[in-house]
Amino acid sequence: MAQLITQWEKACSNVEPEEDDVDNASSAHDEVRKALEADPELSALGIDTILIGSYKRHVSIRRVKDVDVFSKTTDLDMTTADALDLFEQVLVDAFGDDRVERQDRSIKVPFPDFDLHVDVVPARPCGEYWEIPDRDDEWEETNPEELTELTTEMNKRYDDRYVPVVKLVRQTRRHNLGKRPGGFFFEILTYHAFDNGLDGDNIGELYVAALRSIADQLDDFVNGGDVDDPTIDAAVISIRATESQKQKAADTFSDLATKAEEALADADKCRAAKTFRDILGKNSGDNWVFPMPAGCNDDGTVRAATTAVAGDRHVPAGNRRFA
Amino acid sequence: MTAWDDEVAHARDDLLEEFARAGFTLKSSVRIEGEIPAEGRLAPVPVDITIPGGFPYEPPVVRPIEGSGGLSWHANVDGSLCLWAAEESGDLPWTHADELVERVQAWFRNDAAGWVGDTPALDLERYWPSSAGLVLYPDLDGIVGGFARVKVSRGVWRVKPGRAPQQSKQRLAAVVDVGDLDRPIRSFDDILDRTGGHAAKLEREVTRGHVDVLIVRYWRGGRSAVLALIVRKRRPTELVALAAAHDGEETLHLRSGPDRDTLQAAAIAVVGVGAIGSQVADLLARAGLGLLTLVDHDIIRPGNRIRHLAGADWDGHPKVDAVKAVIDAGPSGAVVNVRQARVRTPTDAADLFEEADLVIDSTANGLATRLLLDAGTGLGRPVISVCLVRDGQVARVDRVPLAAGETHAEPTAELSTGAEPLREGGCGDPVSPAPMWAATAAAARATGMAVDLLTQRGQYPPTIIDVLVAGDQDCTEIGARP
Repeated sequence: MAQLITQWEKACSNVEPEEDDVDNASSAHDEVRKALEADPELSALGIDTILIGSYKRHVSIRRVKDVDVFSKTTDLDMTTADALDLFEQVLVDAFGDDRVERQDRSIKVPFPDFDLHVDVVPARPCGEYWEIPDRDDEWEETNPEELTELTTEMNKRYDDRYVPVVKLVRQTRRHNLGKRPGGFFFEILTYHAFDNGLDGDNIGELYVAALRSIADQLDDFVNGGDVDDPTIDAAVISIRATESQKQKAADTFSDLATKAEEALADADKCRAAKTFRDILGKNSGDNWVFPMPAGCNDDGTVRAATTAVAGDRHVPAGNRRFA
Repeated sequence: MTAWDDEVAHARDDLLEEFARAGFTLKSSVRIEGEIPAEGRLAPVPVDITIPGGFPYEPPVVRPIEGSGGLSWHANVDGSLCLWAAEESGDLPWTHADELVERVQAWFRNDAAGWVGDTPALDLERYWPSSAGLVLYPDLDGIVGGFARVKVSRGVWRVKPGRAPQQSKQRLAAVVDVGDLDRPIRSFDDILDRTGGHAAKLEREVTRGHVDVLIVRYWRGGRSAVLALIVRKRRPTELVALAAAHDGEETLHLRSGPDRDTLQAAAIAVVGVGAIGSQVADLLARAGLGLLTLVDHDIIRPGNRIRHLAGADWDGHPKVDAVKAVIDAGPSGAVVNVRQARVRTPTDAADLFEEADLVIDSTANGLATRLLLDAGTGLGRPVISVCLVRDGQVARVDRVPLAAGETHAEPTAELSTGAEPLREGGCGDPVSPAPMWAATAAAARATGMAVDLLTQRGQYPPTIIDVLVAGDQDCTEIGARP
């Protein structure tokens, strides 16, 4: 079977956010956090902002479009609507009316110059967890910091291979599915795949094994099963996707897992690479995520007349030379 | 990506795939782990293989995991195995997994057998942490077991000849001989173990800070070499290896060439020490010539220097003095006499043979050349004449006397399309446009013929015509011919 190690490494780097994006995201969230923490009313409520989300967990893929600011308070004894009003006003005062957008569960502050936005989520304590607004104007439990820790631990457990595979799975989802189910759901599925134990000595093998596990989990999900929330005891993940979208996700990933497994077992490295290229698609820069190996055409055939070794193996003057 | 980039990437990818097929684990595009069966070992040896960024022009680095490689010869200080000699590297003998595995297995076999028949490498410093710098040491026989003074300047530590008193205020080197080694010495304790009765004293002097350098002479296969260690820390003692080089006569002349002994007993007069003659003189001195007489009437002018050994300091001074100074300052050891004079008369020519076994004419002066060649023929004494013709495109060397049946080649035809001759004020003759490399080529040919005569190998014909730049008529092909 073709290992394509160099190509997998390049694929990981091709989904990595670019430096400019990372710098801009950092700049944007700093600005928003400063504005929140400077407000006297929020200060009196013990405001303490942290980063959460895919950006914080380093599982964002190119490009970074949003950054989540989790705004902890010591007490937000009010309805979710009132909490969102309060945060909205603070942000309007800081950024102006036309730069603040009220969402169902957060306040969005676009940064058009950076082509990204910051989502501000109000949060209040709830025992060992937190509560944030849900879509029904109620408070719901959440534990975002736990997922950050779980990500770090899982990455350590798998010799820094977990995070790259999460990114490749997110890229796979983005290329093959529509808007829903979203990237976060697939991140959780990938987490469970790894947590249940995956066989693989390198990124490629782990990615293919993850695809199969995700396909199996999706199959179970569409047939009434639950996906556990690894951050909260006895909680399950709920997603905003229609039954049709869920079924499509299950079917698509089943098909992709089969193709990936066949490619992994294929001794023809050019053909295998073409399959992986098709599965992963292109990044936001419109470049193929999976590079073709040297000696392979873009269509997966072997390029003619490729030498196996750079240049002539023998130096014309022979071996015993002095100068 | 160029076609070459493609090939280079291909080489790495192919190697990785070969290792995967052979059952090795690819941890990344630069790291492979696996096991290699080794003769004489109960279990295969686990190894870590790193493929460096410069592959295939850098060899893979193979390191037995957890020190299972042993502490034998041909292993680097980081535990990696030294698998290939420099002279075979041009063949890139490591581009296939099976080649690499076979070489590692050969290493283990040799290691188990104690490297019998191995050409002893004299490079103990590879087994030590190293630092930049160079230690120069003299002949050691008189100072082994004692101390020598050391001077340091710009990273070069120079050990002075002769024993130093132990209580010297200058930096000191301790000089020890650890004898014939069957395995590398890798620590201060290893050295102490092999210095016999001197160990306690040596340890004391190092830990008290009285010694800055350890000169450790060792032997392998009947040859000696030196490991030079700088004391970086006294307690606990930390030593780092610097490159070491012998600065004595034997080493200075090691690369003189195989004819040095014969040439040492010979004497040559070089008449005309301009562009060609100055280089002939220098080449002969470096080849080991014992006595050199330089003859030229002329002085150095700035225009000469582009093709001459002399630097700007010698403008206005006799050419013979300039060339002597350059040769005296070099490593050759030749005795150089000078005569600032012309060779005008048969007596002048005959006189040259009083001190010289061979006369080389590099005057490019028609009259002087005629005189010297006739003297050689008439007196039956060897003369070589060297020059550049055809505006420096052809080097020509002729010798006399001719043996029976020998003839010289015809004069080389002039260039049919010559450029306007170069002129310089104060110089009546046209200036040759020949570049220095052409003069060097001519000097090399003349030196080769001179050595051939003095060693009596008799391989050189009476004329060598060396076409350096192809042209017309009988000089259309590059290369030398009789």
